[in-house]
Amino acid sequence: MSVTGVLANRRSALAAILEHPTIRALRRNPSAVAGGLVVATITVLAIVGPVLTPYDPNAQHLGNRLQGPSLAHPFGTDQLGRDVATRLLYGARITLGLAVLVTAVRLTIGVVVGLIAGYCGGWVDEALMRLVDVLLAFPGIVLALVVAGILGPSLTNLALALAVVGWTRYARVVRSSVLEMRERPFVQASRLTGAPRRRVLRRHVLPNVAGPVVVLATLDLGGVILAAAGLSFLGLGAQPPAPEWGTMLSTGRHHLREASWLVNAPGLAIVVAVLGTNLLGDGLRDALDPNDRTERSGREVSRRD
Amino acid sequence: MTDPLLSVDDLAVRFETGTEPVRAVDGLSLSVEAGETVGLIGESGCGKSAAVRAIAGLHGDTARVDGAVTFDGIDLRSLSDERLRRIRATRLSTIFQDPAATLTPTRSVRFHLEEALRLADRPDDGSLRAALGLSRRDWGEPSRTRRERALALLEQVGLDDPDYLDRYPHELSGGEAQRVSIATALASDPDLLLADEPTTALDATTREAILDLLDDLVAERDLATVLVSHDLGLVGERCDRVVVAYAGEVMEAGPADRVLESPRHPYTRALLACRLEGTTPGDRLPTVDGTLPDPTAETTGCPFAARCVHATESCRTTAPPTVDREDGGRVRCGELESIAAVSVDGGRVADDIGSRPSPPGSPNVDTLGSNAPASAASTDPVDDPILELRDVSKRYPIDDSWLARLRGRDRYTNAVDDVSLAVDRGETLGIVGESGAGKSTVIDLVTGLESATTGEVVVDGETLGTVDDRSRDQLAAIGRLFQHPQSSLDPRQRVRTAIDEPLLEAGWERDRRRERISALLSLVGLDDRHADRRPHQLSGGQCQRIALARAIALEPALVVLDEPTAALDVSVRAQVCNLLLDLQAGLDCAFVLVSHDLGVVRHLADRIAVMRDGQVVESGAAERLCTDPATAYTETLLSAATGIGETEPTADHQRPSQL
Repeated sequence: MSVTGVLANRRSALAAILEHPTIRALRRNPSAVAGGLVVATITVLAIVGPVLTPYDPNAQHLGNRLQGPSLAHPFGTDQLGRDVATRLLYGARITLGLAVLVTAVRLTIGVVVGLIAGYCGGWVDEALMRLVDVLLAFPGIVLALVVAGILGPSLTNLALALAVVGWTRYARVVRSSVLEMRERPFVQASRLTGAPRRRVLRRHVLPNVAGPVVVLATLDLGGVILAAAGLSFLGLGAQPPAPEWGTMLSTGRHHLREASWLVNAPGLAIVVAVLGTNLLGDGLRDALDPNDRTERSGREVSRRD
Repeated sequence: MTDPLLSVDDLAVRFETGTEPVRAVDGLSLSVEAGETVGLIGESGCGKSAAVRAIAGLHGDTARVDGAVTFDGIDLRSLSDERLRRIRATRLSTIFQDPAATLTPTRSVRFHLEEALRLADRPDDGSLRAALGLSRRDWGEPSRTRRERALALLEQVGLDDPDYLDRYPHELSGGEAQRVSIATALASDPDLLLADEPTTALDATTREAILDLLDDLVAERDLATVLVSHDLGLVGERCDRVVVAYAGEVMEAGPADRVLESPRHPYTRALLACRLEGTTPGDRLPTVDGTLPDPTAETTGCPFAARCVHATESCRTTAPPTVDREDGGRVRCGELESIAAVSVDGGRVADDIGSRPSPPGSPNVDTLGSNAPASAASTDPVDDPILELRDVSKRYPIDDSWLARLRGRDRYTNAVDDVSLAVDRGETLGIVGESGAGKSTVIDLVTGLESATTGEVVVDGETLGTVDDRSRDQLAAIGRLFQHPQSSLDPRQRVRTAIDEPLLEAGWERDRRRERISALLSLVGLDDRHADRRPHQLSGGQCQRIALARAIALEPALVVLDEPTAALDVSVRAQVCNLLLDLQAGLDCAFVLVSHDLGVVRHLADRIAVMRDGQVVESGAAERLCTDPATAYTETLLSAATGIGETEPTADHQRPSQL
């Protein structure tokens, strides 16, 4: 196949993705578009960060300390003469990586527990859901504090602490969807073909509960970013000199009077990242909600009679 | 003639979607006089509900509504939302199709009624305090008075017991819930009642009761009513005038008795012919082939042309003229003369549509299964049954909390109580009864989704347990069709994958599966084009065909059909009945057919068992049971069934044509 042919194929594949009903609904939703753009921009910046900046995030220039914002240092320099903008870019890698990792672990644990509890029912369900209740009864951030405190302050332990406490919401959402799904005729029909439970779950139940889970995960990203920054701020997460946003905030606050940019810049970064993921999550929820889909509503209304 | 109470002129409703607008209603006109009942009739997707919602002003921003709606001299379309709401609160009431969805699940019946009464009394009080029932002005009226007024409303709809006031929607049966929603609709003592398929979600006996109730109320209160339905025969006889809509346009309108007696438009004729009246059990039914036109496409000619047996070239290209009926009605058709020449008598319609060639599925039937005649079934006692239920009972706990069990107070209800049934090879056993009679539980027991508390389920000589205990062959021996065609297919799976599943689980190879899927699709009257669609892109009838293809994929000796036609239009119902007859003839399988509609069951079944409260109250050969019922309960079912009752006017009208 010629190069243009391949390209044309690519383009039509892209067009097909853009024309997918969910994506189309997303494109019509301003908050989803805004959130998507923010998240995409942060992701791109995190990936190509080192190319954009001439500085080393950890190289100290003590003669250059606490410089205000300038062309050479758009967000100024910190108390050790490091470029704040560079540290933010590198920090985005830590923050995003951590958020995605933690969310993925939460999602996996939550979905597995929810599926098992919902589909098996009986005492398995009881036991798992009581565990979830117990975990939910503690405030998540306090529990994470305890875990991180016991394990000792480090980025890995922070991730572990956040993952351990945050999966319960996924489990509950998945379980209730599974309970509803289990009684659906198409799931029963699948059982009647002799398909073993595992396959029924994978083939019919999981794809149909995926929507709410994806929405929850997107909304959760912001929460994880915030929690990670908070715990790092308290000294339980990333340790200096790591350019983690929460750690930067924490060290920056000692120089709040003379160099407010040390706090403002990472604070702003956190706000933008959290806002972006939340907007995207809201948009996704609207797009995936079958009751609120203009795409289908016309057809459904006209069919209802 | 005075101005009508409601007049709708050239109403159009368009839904804006991503690409082109969907035309749900396209130039619909109708008028209703005070005290008159007008039926708005057509298949699913004809824009009936969209029109009703447009009249009541219930469409949101997604729909564009054009045309004029005049109610008692007021132009409803020009009113502000607030003024419109006031009219809905005091003068115009709507009843929706699904009563369970109309009532707020967390509020008691009393709340619903009192809210409706309060809104009717003081429609202008839009304050939050009033909405929460905290308004000082509510205190002026003692709660006893309000309760009495609510009770009076309930009495009007035939719910005399004051206990109903404190019940919640989930504690009501479908019929009771619909009565309550009618009561809320009556709270404002409206001038106009819009009833959008008020009986479609109900079973046959309840349907009759609700329609009777509406009849009485309309007569008592001099209420103008728009009654929406897909069943011309059922509803037409209760209306003064009917408007038959197709693809959002009026096809025919006129006095109900005249339209029922001598329908002029081919669509009206086809709708009437789809009924089960006067048909011989087991015969193929006349159907309206094809589906509704694409609502996004611009049409120039008659929208019905593609499905019309009388269509000519000019029908497809030019808009049909509107012709006045001699009795004051209208018909929108350009070929009335040629149609009249083909069938002089309205009652003969069944023949000229019914004689169309059989669907593409039937010739292929022989490629599958054996050729043994299906008529082998006899009414003699069954000696080699494919299915046997031996004294089967199924108990469900009502309260099985550990506390109740500890105190020895666990209570049970018998969903199925000591039922014994047998089904011969190749025969059809019909099971009828109202909702809650235990029919579905019997099916769950047969298919193994539930386990019997006592008794045995024997299929082909083997006693079976639940699904998990059954072998591959035992599972393959029984196919099952679920009640709601759309929900029995995974919304995310394509048709091909759905039909593939049982074959895959049975361990078939890829090539063999692909061939089999094609064969099955053509067997149920579809083709490979449908294989790559998803359920929401298919009509209800098409979904039912797919579900059926799935059920017979492994050539089961027994197919269990749970309400195969309950969720379908009359026209589609006839198609599905025909398909079932064809399939049984081709596959030589036994059917267990469960339905609340004795008419459908009589048409398809060799033997019938009538169930009530978990027990079989009567069973016997279909013909005997329908002509000479032994129990009063069967008689009740018979009188409610489609196409069997003696009082059906259409049945009378067909008689002369047979002379």
